[in-house]
Amino acid sequence: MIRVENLYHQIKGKTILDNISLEVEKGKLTSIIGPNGAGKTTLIHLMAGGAPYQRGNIYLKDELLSKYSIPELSRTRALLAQQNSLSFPIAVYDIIELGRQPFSRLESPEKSKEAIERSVALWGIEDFIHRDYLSLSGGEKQRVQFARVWTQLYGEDLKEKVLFLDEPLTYLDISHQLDFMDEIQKLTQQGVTVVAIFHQLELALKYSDQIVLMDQGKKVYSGSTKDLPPHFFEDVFRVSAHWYREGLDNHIGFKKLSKQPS
Amino acid sequence: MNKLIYIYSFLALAMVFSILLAISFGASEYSVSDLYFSFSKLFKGEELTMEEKILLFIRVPRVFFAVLVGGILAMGGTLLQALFRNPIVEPGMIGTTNGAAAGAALFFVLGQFWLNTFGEFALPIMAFLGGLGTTFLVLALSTTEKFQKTNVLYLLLIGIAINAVCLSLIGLMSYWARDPQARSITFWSLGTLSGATWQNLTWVAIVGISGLFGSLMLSKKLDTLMLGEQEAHYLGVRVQKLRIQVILINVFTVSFVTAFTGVIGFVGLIVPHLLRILYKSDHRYLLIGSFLLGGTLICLSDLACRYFIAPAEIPLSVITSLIGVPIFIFLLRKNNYRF
Repeated sequence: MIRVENLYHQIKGKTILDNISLEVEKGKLTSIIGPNGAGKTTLIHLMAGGAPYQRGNIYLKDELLSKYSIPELSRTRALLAQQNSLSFPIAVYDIIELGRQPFSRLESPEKSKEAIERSVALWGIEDFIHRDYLSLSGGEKQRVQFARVWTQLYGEDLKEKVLFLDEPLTYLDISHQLDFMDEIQKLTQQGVTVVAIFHQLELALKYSDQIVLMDQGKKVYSGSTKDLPPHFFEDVFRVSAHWYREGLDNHIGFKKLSKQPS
Repeated sequence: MNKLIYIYSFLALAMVFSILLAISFGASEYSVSDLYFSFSKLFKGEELTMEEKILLFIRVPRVFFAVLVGGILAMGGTLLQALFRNPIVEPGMIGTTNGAAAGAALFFVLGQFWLNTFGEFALPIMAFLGGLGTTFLVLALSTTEKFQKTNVLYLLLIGIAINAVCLSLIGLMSYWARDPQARSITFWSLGTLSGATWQNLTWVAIVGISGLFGSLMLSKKLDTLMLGEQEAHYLGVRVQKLRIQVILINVFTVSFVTAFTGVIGFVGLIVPHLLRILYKSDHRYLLIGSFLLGGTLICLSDLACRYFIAPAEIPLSVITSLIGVPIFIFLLRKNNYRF
């Protein structure tokens, strides 16, 4: 679905992405993990066409990303950013409605309304649909943003769509985190390609089809979750990882490495 | 949706009522039937009395001028607040109005030179160029090259600095000026609608209404901008293009109006706030609403200017600040806006 080739990007003279190549498979959840400052957010924004990249190539559906117009891209992918700030009071419903903006000239108002209603029901926000966004709790705000982004993707051709998520679990409690991961899994089952940045390694490893591990602007590993060699955790995160079985599920636990005397 | 119809009707009725009020009262008083008879006499080509001439060629154009000016300034405030995603921006803060005032001061002092250059429209042309020039200066200085992105804090601070330069220039011109010119500068820096004629009214109406329709076409995009520039981009909006369109509409309409009226403060600031409280931050509504409410406010303010010390006049900005500042402070404290 997305192919990144030799991507290289600098911001203010500092190399943020250094020769990144990777492939995102269609209809799969690809998680990007790595310590703070690894370049994950920059990578996801460049892949989503949020800013022009400097060197290398990014292909979306075998077409150069730069060939797509801004409105075209908005009908193919959606991105949920890390921080969302609003300067004015605005009702939850209106925010979700803005998610359908890319299609406003292409579809009937009924169709847009259907997308919005489905999304509202899916993310369970009926109860505060008419409230002011600024008065919501962090978790509620995050759910509203999910609903907005999902409204943007909604359609019959889900198999052609890509969802980018930058640390989507940040404001959610553990029960909503698990709910959210289940929803993501359902989306990929319907054919949506999902690329997400996670700091919750356990959840990322448990749910993802593919892992991209990054450190200091470089890609350290990309491939299936179960092939990820444990020593990468030690190299990149300075933690030791061990798998254990509980019932039918595999789990992973982490322990901080003690500092070695130098 | 129903609520919106009520709000529009209320705003429109308030506007009609204030127009009638403003036509009736002032240095001389008229009734609605005076208005009717004067107009019918005019159309029949009969001789008009002095009183009727004042009504038809001074009072009526002035009142409609007030409505348009208020509408345009409030619309300018709405546009800038949407663009910079900041509730305390208005055309005055990015140098548009004071730049226009500085241009006008140059005209008052060096009038003959400019009259030779630009002819009878020298004052509006000078003011227009002043407003245009300072606004682009402020925007250029507050835009970081790398991302073509305007830093709002920079914008406000540079706006303050450039405004200070404009005010010094106006001060210098007043210092050099002889008495009647100095009085013109002072009056103009504080805003006045006494220059209203049917001809000016036509010009301002053309510019203002095309500005309104132009910005209405951008209203959905301005809505997405509320989520952030990045989000708007991901929702398919060409943000850079939108930014240029909004600034052009704003600078042209506001400089143009200021060129005829002088500096009128606070309308652009408070009207969008009041409308957000009344209903919500939908830009189609905010733009239409600000045109109606801004027009009503300036129409009534101008009535106050003409009424209280008639036949003399109070400068318009004195009234708008007296009304605007308390409302602004109250709204800021009540709303917990983020900057």
